Amino acid sequence: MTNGSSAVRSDLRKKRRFSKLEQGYMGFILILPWLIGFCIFKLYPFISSLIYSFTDYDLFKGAQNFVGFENYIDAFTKSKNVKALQVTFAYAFMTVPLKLIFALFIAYILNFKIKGVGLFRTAYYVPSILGGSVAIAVLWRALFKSDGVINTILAMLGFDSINFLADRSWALFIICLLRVWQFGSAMVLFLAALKGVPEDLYEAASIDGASKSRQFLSITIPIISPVIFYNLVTQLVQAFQEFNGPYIITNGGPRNATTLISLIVYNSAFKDYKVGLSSAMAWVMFVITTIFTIIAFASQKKWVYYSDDDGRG
Amino acid sequence: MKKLIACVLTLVLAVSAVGAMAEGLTFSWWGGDARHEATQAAVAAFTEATGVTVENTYSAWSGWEDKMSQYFASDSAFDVNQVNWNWLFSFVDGEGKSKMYDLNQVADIIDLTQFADAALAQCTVNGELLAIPVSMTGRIFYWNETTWQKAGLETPKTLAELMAAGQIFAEKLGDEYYPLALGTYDKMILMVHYLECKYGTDWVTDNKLNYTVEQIAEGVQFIQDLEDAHVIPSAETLIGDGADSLDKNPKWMDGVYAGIWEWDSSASKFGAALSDGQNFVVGEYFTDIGEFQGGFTKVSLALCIANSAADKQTAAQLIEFLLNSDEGARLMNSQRGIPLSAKANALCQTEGLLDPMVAEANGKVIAWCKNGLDPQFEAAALKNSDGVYADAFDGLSYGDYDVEEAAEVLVEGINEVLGA
Amino acid sequence: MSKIGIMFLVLSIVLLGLGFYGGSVQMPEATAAEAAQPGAAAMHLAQYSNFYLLLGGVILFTVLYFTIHKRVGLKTQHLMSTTVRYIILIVVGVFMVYPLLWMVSATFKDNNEIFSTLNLIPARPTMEGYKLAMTNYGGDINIWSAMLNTYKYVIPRVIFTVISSTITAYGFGRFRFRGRNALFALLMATLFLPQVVLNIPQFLMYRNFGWVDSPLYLAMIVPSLFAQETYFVYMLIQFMRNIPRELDEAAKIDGCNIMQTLVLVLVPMLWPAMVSAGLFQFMWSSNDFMGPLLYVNSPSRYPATLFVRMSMDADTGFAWNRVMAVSLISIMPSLIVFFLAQSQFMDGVTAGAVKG
Repeated sequence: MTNGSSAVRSDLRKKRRFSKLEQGYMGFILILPWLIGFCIFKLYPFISSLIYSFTDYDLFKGAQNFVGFENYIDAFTKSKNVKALQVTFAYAFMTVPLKLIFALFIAYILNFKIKGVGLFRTAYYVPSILGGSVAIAVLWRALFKSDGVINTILAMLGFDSINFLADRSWALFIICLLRVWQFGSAMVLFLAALKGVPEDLYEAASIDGASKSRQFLSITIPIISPVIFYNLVTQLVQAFQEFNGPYIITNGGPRNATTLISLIVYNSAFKDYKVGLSSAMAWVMFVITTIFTIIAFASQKKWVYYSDDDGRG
Repeated sequence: MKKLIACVLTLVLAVSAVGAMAEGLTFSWWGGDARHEATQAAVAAFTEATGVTVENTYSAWSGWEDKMSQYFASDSAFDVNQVNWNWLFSFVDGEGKSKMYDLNQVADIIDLTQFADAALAQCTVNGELLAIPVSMTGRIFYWNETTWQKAGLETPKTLAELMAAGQIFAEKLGDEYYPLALGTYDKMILMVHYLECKYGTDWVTDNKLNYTVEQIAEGVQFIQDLEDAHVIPSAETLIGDGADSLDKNPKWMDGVYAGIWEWDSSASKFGAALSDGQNFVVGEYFTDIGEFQGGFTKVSLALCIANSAADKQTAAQLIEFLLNSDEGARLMNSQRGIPLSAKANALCQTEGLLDPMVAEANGKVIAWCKNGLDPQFEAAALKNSDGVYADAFDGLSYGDYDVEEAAEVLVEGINEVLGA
Repeated sequence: MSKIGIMFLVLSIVLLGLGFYGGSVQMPEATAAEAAQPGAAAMHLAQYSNFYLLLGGVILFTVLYFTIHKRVGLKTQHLMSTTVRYIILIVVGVFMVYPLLWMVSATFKDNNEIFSTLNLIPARPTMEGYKLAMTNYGGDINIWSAMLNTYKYVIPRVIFTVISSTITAYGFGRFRFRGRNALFALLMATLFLPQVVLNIPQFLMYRNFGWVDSPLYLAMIVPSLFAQETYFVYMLIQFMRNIPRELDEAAKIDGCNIMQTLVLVLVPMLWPAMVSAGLFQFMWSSNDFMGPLLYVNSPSRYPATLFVRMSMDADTGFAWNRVMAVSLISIMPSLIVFFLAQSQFMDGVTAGAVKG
């Protein structure tokens, strides 16, 4: 029994080939639960909802006449739906920039050696854990009602009380504020990213005479741009789907000023029994979200700098 | 790994199957705390008497209609359900078959003779008796006498008195105070009451609206006048209070709003909500609105058996017990309004179990209201917080619509629902 | 000092002056007819005096800061900027934390006091809020059983999520197989899939399975058996990228099969990420409102989120201290878990997004 080198080599080759094959099936088997779950819990409902959106599926009457694009036309022409689209856009484009700017600003300030960084970080992060919980939504209503805490503070400053819950522009604002208040999660990411920027870059820039703001714009921002990108996309997607806040705090009011698309989807299905229309609106929302995500991804090349080359977040 | 998944799935399926085979009945209702307690006691008595276990599901009204729609729609409603009157007409499948069981089939178990024919007729659709009405109800004024006395006034007996009270409240008590507070649905019903007092005709007959846009505009103007005369707070003020309903509104509880327009069957919770030292009284109908006695009564709520119930006979027994038996009547008493069942009514009266205020109010309502109600009045598209009534009245109050426009919004919306 | 600086300095002095003047104006009594009535402008100043003082003060402070900052040595500059940072952090921190502190203090106040003052310390502390919070609704459910119900599905969900996500991440992260890239793209796509699109068909489907109102909370738990929370799979894959493949190979040479490699070698290294995933899922599931809203019927099975909503409607009247107490108790566990495991949270959050 001689283990000549050629025999060893062929053994090894067999092993590698065998292990490649093994790898070929094993990986697939490992992700099989996910794939099954995906087909049952995501793919099937996803396609069903697309199909429903082309019918007049009623919660009670079942289907089913194919009505073609009628639901989609309703989605874009009925004033209630168009308003919801506008409100959703307004909400998303108010909340996301505010949230990101705050998060970056605070992360920037927090990014230096002081005692108690941990304490501040915790204080800023706690609101985001409580998330869209019912308890916080109830709290928000207590704060902003006409004799609530915020109005008491305003009175101290001499302002007349503002009817936040009933004024159409303010109502949307307080819904945004609820999310902006929860900027902690984005802030933590920015903080970690800021810590990853090498100090010597700043020093070199200072020596070259660059001002602090110049440094920030030309060094900090580009280096943390992947994180900005990640935050931007995730926050935008989340903002388009917002439900809990408007549902519990203002119930879509006043006069539909805080009725986001997600509320229309819920109401048309469970209150008006129009599952077809509801699915169509949900799909409209999905398509819009996807479009913005694609725009964001496509724009990556312009402003996001990755430290390695594969260009994936 | 695969084995594990297979085991878990089997286990899951087995347990679901077991769950589905559970014996006994399921019963659902909505209400406040007092109603929950009373009903549970009654159900417990039923279990003791018959040995049948009953699983209860109950909650507050908020969000309950959505839930029940889902369950009826997917044929997974509970065996016995407390239903709102309009559900009888909307919980219908694609072929027009109701989701509720025809109770004429169990007339041997449920004593239908205890109920007036007119009441049963209201719950009969296409010849099928879909539910047993528990009580009739209508809207009537209730006043916080304490606040009225503070303003130096008696509670109003005429519309003129109410209109005058607005200014007096503002001057004597402050701008915050209002003699009456109305939510959007309250406004709609009051307006219909007003018009029916003036013109006498029912609101809708045979799916046709009986009032012209001009007449409705008069009604809308009436509501606007109430707001202009400081009788009722604006929609903005009410929304800004941040309360889900008037009985949860601190301004009602502290007497800043001194009146409501409520169903006699559910007004007691408003009285209970008042903080100490305030006097809650039933009001009078105004005779100076018009020559007719306008206003409608409707079945407040009813008990039905879902078509998906497995054991309809036992379910019928539960309904019979709750509504017609001595013990059931005693325990349920007037938590759902004054009972329509003759037996229950008589028993409660003899034993003095009826809440005196509910009895007083119900008496006045039944004596006064002469009009009927069409089933579509409470359709979801009209009554919901984003529905036609809210659009019209909130739009009016916010200044988006003037009186004519609000009337048109109402007419268009109602016709759309009726025509559908 | 620059022109802009002088301008702002003047502005701040003017504002402060107006503020002080306004504060000194006597507001006319309703009955004092003889007292001199101040003019309309003075009335305006009197009302807004606090605001002008605040605004003036802030602008003055900013101007002084920037002026001095330029003229002092490096050490003082550093000291100044540190102080300002602290001030900003504390001010913003107060805004972040005040609502929660207010909520806690409201639970100890009686109802009349809650909205009359801004104090965080109640003038007349009372346990009334908590006593009322212990109410048993119809004998079927109270706050404690509601909390218990929440954990009946939160804990299985957490365990199943962590296990299934790890296995799936392992499959995607360490293996090559036909179609991997396509399936991975599919995985990423689900990250952006709005749940709203799926709600109704899922509801109809679960109803067919008989999972609605299941005593085992099946509708809430079963999907997590199948790694349907893409966020965690993604996070674990990212984390796994940082574990060198040599470890896998070394394990293989030592005779480990696939599963042993996973459990004995990778999991210990992945552990922080797994814990973070578990913690996040714990938080999110505890706060889930839509899920129970659709799939839990019987009050005896209500989790904390539904209980909070129900308790708002159920009682007569509306006691804010009770509502706040119930809300606070319902979020307590999440807060406690967070405080105990802060660092894991932060690590987990960053693992998914920050490279290198």
